[in-house]
Amino acid sequence: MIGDERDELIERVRHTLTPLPPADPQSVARVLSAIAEDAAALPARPTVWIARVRALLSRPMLSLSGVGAIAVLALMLGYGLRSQTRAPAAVPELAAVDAFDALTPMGLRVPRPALQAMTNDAGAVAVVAVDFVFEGSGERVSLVGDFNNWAVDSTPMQRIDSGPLWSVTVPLTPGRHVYAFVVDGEHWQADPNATSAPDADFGKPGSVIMVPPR
Amino acid sequence: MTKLPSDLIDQARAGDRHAFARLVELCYPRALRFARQMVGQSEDAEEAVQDSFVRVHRYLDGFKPGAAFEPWFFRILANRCRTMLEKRRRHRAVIEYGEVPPNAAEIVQAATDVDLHHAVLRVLDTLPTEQREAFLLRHIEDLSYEDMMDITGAGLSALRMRVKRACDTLREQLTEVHYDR
Repeated sequence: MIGDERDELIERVRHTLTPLPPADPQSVARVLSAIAEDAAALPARPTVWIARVRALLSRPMLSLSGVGAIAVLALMLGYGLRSQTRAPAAVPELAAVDAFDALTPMGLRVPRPALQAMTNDAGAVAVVAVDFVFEGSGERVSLVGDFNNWAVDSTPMQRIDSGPLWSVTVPLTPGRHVYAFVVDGEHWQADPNATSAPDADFGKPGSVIMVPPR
Repeated sequence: MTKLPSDLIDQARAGDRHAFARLVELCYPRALRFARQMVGQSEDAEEAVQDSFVRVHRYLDGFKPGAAFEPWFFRILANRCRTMLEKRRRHRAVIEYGEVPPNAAEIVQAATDVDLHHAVLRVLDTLPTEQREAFLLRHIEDLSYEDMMDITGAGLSALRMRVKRACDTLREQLTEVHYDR
């Protein structure tokens, strides 16, 4: 049969070409991150990115600096407007939050995806990307809250330029959330720049954030 | 991709983010192998694979339930590889205009001191894209001609001829180096 002859040499060629490369976790993570970014670039509802701006500006760490706040606002406005000018995707897809969330259970460390206004394409749920910033020393810092079942290892924060600031962006549903920072896996700290939560779970210190509805 | 759990695609389509991440994890090695053999051992191969998964994610909702995932995925991947090769060709045409590309015999002769694997890759690189693609899909990815028709859009006769010509070239060039010395 034409094309299907497998003589000795073709078999040797097959043998040398068939071994699979390893599934390098970093490479897989980059793929998932790219998927999250692609999903995040979907057309955004204006109210959602406005909500994110509000959420960002409500963060004391950012609101301390007027110039910084204006810069963030400008970035967000630019990004939001740019997002809205994109052509709609041909078909629905998983929301960025899904792709982003899919990373952590696999233990993959990935670049922070460009989370923007993230909505479920089915239109059922809208979530808001909220930047959390913590200032302090430690080897590692994570964010815990009612949104991740207070799992200490679920949401690690990224150190900014080897300095004292740590940040992470988390997709949250609108409403009230309680959260805390955990330094080195054991020292729980409330956000000194936010309202304390009187009902903090586990008897640990906690803070409250109100995510505005879209 | 024949090892994919039967319900994984359905779960990913249904919005199970863990299923989609698992899908990427399982498909990545085979996708990278194909891309490397199509476009070479370069960042281009990884970029082609990444672009393919982004498109799979983007269009998975439109994937027909119960259809074979493998041909659909390879159609996307092969397209990305062809696009990558075309971009590279244009780039080379701009910066290397006037250079005469080496022929296969010269390349293999120069590779007599390296192993068969490298020699095979270098001969593959000299094949026309359509022949290389058909050979890899048939003999390395073990796909049926029906699937290959779906992936490439080419007819059965054309695909058989592409595979045959690729095999002929491999035999000719590799025999010269590895058997007739």
